[in-house]
Amino acid sequence: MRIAVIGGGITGLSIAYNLAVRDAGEIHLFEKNWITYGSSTRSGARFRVHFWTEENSRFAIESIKRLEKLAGKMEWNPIIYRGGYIWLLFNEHQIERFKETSKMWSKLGVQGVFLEPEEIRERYSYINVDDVLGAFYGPQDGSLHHDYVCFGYYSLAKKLGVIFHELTPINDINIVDNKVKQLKTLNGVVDVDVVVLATGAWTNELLEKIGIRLSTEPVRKEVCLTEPYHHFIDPLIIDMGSGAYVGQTLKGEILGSIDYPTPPGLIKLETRLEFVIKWAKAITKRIPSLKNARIMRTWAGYYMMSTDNSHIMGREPEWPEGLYVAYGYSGHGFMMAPLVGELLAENILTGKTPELMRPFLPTRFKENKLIQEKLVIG
Amino acid sequence: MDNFFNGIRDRQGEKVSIFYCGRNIEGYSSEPVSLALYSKGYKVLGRSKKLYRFRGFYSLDPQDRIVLTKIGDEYVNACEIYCQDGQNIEVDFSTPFLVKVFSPLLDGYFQHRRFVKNRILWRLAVDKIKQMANHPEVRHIEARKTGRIIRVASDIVVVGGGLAGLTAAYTVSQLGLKTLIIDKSIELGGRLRYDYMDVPGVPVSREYLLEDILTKISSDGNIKTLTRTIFTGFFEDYPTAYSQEERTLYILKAKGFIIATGVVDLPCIFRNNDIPGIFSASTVLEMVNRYRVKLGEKSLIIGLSQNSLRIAEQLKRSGIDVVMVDNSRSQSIQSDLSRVGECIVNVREIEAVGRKCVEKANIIHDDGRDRLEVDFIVCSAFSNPDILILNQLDSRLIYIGGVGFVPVHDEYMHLKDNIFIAGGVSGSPYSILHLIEGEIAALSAAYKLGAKEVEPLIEEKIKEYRTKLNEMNVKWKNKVFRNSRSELIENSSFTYPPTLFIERPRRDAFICFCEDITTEDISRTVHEKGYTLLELVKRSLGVCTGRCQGRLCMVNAALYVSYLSNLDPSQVGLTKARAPVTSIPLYILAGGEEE
Repeated sequence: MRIAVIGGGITGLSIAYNLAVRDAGEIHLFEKNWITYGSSTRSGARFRVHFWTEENSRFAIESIKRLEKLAGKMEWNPIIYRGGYIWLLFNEHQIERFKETSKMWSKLGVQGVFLEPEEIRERYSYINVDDVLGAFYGPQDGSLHHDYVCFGYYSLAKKLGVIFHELTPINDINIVDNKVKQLKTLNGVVDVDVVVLATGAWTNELLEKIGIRLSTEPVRKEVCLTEPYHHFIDPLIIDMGSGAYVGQTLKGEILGSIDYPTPPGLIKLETRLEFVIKWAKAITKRIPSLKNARIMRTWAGYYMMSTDNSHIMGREPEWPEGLYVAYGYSGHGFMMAPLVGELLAENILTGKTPELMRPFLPTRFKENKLIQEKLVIG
Repeated sequence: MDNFFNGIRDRQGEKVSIFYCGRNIEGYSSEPVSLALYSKGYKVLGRSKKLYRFRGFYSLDPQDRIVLTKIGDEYVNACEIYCQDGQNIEVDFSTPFLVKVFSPLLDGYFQHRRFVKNRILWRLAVDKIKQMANHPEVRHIEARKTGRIIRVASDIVVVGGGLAGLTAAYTVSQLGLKTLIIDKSIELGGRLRYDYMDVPGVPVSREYLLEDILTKISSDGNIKTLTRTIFTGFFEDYPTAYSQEERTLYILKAKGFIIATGVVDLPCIFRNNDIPGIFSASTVLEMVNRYRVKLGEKSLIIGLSQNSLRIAEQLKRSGIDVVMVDNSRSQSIQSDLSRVGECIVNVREIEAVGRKCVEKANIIHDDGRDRLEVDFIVCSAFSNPDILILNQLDSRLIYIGGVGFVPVHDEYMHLKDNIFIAGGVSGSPYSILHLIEGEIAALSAAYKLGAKEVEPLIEEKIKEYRTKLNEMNVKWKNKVFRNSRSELIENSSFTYPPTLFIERPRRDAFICFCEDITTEDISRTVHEKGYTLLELVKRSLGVCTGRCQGRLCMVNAALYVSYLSNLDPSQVGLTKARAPVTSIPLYILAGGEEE
């Protein structure tokens, strides 16, 4: 069997690796720029297991477990560090919501801790809690090194014989008798039996060429990074009042972002001063000692938003045979991708749909079985 | 507005006393702290991030934030802060125990090679690792400062107040357009301020040239000037600049931009090239001529070029012995060499000796080895256009052998949209060309703004420009112009990196000073991982991600990767710079807007 994975980000790499481990045949990976070019290396490099919905939480828990296990095999240290997430809560409604959901989290074995303002002050003396009503702390969440995870998968896949085509954009997918047949690239035509689209924010363009429409749209998100400082912020701090988040990388840089209205679409990946100013104001209010920190860089990437803020993987029965997708993560792709690769590889090779994957099938939009995930950060 | 002034300042300043690790030192309020300390023999300003090596300053440029120094309770670039009475400068000379033990493991490669595949061990290690790096402290510093944001409107903004920038600004204002000059140094004039030799090809003396243009600028009501202000790049919504001294972020509103940021003297790559006492070419001139600092008795100049000769002559004039070295012998310069003295060619490897400052230099060349006593070393082998802003703008950069990475522009000095360039940043090697380019850029910008009457003048100037280019044998410019007309990038050919002075990758030859990345780290990434795109090398090592934003290391890294992989530098490519190209304190951004 000849399988083409399109997209050289974390999803594509994970799928290619998992296919290769299962001896799926000849695996080609096409990337229009270089490996990790798209959204993977523009991410905030964080993972969490706390979602509003059981489907997503369960998926993330399993996914991170897979990644930790794989880390031992990788040539690169993925620098997984469970520093925790802390959600600062500002009203009764937010606290209620977290309390309610924490029952589900306990059931899944990822209990968190509720903190009173005094406790926050005690544990994180740098946070200004004057207007904070409480906080939820999730110790199982944390950070990883996005580049090294990608490179780790890349080198594993390469060793297993995956053939990489970098700087090779796919212009079209030829379909014959409702079956994927060929990929048109700049360098010519490649015959294929299976095509997996792991093209993130650029998926709609390719799907539309073969007449498929899923309700997803890319939204540009911007991130700020400061110069490196001595490490003092362990968790990722999410300010549920202003919509800002801030954390410190193991390299010492302080990384964060804030909700800022952006029209959807593949708009240019640039950043706005207005956004930076809004973040600076919010974050120096929350952590006053950051006033002396200096913003060194800003960059932008896309969240590929789906209607229910959860990823889409697998295929619909009516689609051309051999066509699969894995995208639409709505901002939490990096943490899901290790498991997505594994489950999708199984699905492609056996035809069976693993239990964990079922809620995320693209058919859920037609069947109206949406996941209703609302906890999106940034 | 109080912060608009016309760039000429009294340089005398008053005597102040500052304290270095408790010792009382005399300085002048007109000189940067780093310089006051160096002139009194205190050369260590801080320690490096990963390996805790002793670091001084490489250049006086406020954008090169390689090392931060603790002054009072803040960590700042000591080249950006001027002496004030009672300042306390602290350097920690002790090395943490863990670093001493583990520093052999802490090369740039440690992240993905040596550490720790066992999950439990890793958890223990990571808690230590995150505390080990020598980062400035931000947590305990009292946040007492406030900043502000000011909007400044002008027709044209000129970035860089050197010969090209000033010429452009004056030409623009003569057409009745409002002009704002932004310059990062304390006075306008750029190199003319401190390179005391006459400008080749210009019939008047340097003093006259400088005096003339400054008088014109200061008496022109259309021109405003912001000095000690760094242009921080183009955000999607606004271009910005900021002044540390004024604690102000300027939001610039202009119809056109002329970028005239000049060149960067690249650090040379040799053993121990990071210790105090190794300077960029222009910084040495600035220290010797402008600040009249006694730098020592003996110096080593790396690189044989017209520029090196100018530096050598001026150092000799101020009583400093000069030895010049290079990795190849340039025929055109040979005849001038006798004037300046000793010269060693065909050098294969240089090693600076010393821990807290340069004491000696070992030189291995084709005919044996030499051991020289030197007080300081000057990196004058290669200057690349200062492409930081252009890189952030995503403009096309092509590699031209002997010139460096050059922005693609046309004869009208047009870069893209409403942005024009002039001077050294376009790669032009001679000041006489910078003068014409300044005029052309200004006229083209004015034309774009609607001054259609200047068209014949532009054509005339371009004719003159072409003649001068021919006269001076600057043939590669034609290639740049051709590239600006087609999207096809012409390939350059592979060249030996002009800044490279090591025989094989070394653990003590640094490429990226902010992140402590050595030639050995890069060589292993290229050879063991097979990564030859600078983007990927950056992602694996962190090269070009430090505080200098790649200003000093990016071109060196690209050329070194190209050398190791035998690829053309254009194929290795550069990495993208992001706004802000120089970091801005959060208290300024959060400061709120003033009218």
